[in-house]
Amino acid sequence: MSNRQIQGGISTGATRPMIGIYDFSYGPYALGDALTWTMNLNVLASQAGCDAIDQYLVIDPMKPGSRYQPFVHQHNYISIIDNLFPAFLCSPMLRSVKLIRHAPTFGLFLLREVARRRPMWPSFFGHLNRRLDFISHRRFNTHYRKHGQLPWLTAPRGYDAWADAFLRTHCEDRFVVAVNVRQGALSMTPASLYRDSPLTEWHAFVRRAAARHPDALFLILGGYTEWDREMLRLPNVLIPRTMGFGLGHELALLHRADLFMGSSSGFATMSTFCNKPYLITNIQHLFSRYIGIPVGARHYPFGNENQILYWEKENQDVLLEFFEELHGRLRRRSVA
Amino acid sequence: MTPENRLLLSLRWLINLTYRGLSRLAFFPFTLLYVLLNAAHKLILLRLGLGLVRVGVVKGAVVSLPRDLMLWFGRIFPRPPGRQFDVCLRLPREAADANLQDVLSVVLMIPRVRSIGLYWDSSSLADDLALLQLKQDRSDPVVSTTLHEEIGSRGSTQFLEFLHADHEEFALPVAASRDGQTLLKRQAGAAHVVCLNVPTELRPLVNAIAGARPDIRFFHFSPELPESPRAANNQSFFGCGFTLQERMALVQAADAYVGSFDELGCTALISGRPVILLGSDAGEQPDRISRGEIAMWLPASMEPAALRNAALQFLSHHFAPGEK
Repeated sequence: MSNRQIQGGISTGATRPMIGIYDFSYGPYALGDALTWTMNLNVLASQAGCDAIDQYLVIDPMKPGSRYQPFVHQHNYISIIDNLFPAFLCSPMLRSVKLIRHAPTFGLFLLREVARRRPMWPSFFGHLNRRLDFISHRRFNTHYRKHGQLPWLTAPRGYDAWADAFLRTHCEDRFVVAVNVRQGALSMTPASLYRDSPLTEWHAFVRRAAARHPDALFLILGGYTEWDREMLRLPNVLIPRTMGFGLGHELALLHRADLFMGSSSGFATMSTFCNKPYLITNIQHLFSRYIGIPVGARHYPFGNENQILYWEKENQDVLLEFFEELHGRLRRRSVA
Repeated sequence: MTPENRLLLSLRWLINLTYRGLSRLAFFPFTLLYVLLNAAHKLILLRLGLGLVRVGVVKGAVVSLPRDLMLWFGRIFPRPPGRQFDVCLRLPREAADANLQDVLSVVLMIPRVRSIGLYWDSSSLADDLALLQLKQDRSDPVVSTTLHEEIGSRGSTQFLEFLHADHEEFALPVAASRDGQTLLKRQAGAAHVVCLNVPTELRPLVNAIAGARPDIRFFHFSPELPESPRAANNQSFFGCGFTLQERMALVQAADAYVGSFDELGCTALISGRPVILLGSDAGEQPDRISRGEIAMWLPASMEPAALRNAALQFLSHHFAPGEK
């Protein structure tokens, strides 16, 4: 949707909410896409002068997934949305979120919002055509070029205080590194396995980094099935999922961590859009056209020197080199 | 058949037919037609008095929101059974317990819920209620006030109501149920399995019960205490990374439950398993409260020996020693 469409409904009043629609009949069940969608809402709300966001998550229980995710069906969509839901709580402007699984109810809400000419994304016409650009960064790049800043994501609503308490208890005075190694092959719904990162290289990296920098504490993020048992044996490692925590807790911890390191996937998206220092590895070259930078570029247009992109498959030497560069700079900054 | 029902059936037929047609034509202008038809459908439902909303208000003092939500749902299901409804929850902006994912897990267990709205702003809630509520409800102050209820405000009454009620409305996701069944099958085979979920102060009770019944397999979700020896038939699933729905499914797959009256205790009651509930939520209740032979609620103030005997007696009644 163009900015003109958004601005067609702008009121100068600052209390006018932005409406966000995520209809799973054409929007994927995916962490990165859900966070990119939320970031788009933030940017569009900011451009439209809104200071609140009302989100509509729409599921048809009889046909809950898009044609690109045929493995989502009426018997398993509940578990899938249950595991993804915290991703929709990351906008600081969030005023309400409605999960609707009754098309007539959503139809009435939708017509009401259209009649009120509220800023909406996707636009009414975009929704009718099942069009949702949940991948590209073009709005973020444009907004950043114009304003020099972005309205970042935050920890999921309600998880802030918990994350503070967790870090006080388990990570006091440590250099906290949130880590996510994409392992589609180990996930409940395996897909795009060529994007997976080499786990053994990460194991070796954590061992070497822990030996050289005992102050570092690695928080391993990701679904319980998505890391191997070797992770449990590594030094200086905490795995929130083994402590009974879920995605909401992990996103909140990532938001509070000193650094994120991981492959290009959902958690990397969170680190990108909550403005953390990061190293994102193994970025698909195809992605270049959606994010508006050439393959090999070291930073996003809105990234800084501590936000590094690495486009190739990583190995332990590369990981350690980047880690030491970032650790040194960030530690010096925190001491200063 | 009443004219209203005939109209409703015709509408359903029309909507279903349209849906089948439009699902293949998911582009403009067919999608617009679909939205218009759906909105009209909803308006008619509201006109016929079939639009029901339940509003729960959460204040800061809620101890366990998922549990209190289950207790609340146990009470507010509209009659007759099967009638769908919308749920709105007004939440405090600053919450300390980080459990919104669990809140959604609980709501998603109820197939009758058409929509769930989480609101951090009263004006937004009021705005949506105007659309979801029946017109006559809006104009009737008595009905309007009964729609709103503070969750967790009914003290021990809500526990008693839940203990004695039937709970056919909750349904766990099939994947969680399947995985729960499979895990227990692999771990325990044909042996009886009891889920333990006792408060920390009653942990010695766990070993006493497990030691007295070596023929039963016990499991729990708490971390092992390094200083206390563990009976061989007592296993912790702490650290296995189960979600709330997965833990509920394990409770449902087990043969009995002994533990707190929290969301897992509620699940055990829903599942119709033999249940011993432990805890101080009974208020002034001096002794046990029973629901037939299937459920027993013991106050935490009971002597440990009396608790142990009551629990063992209850288990022996349901699972005689040596019986599989």
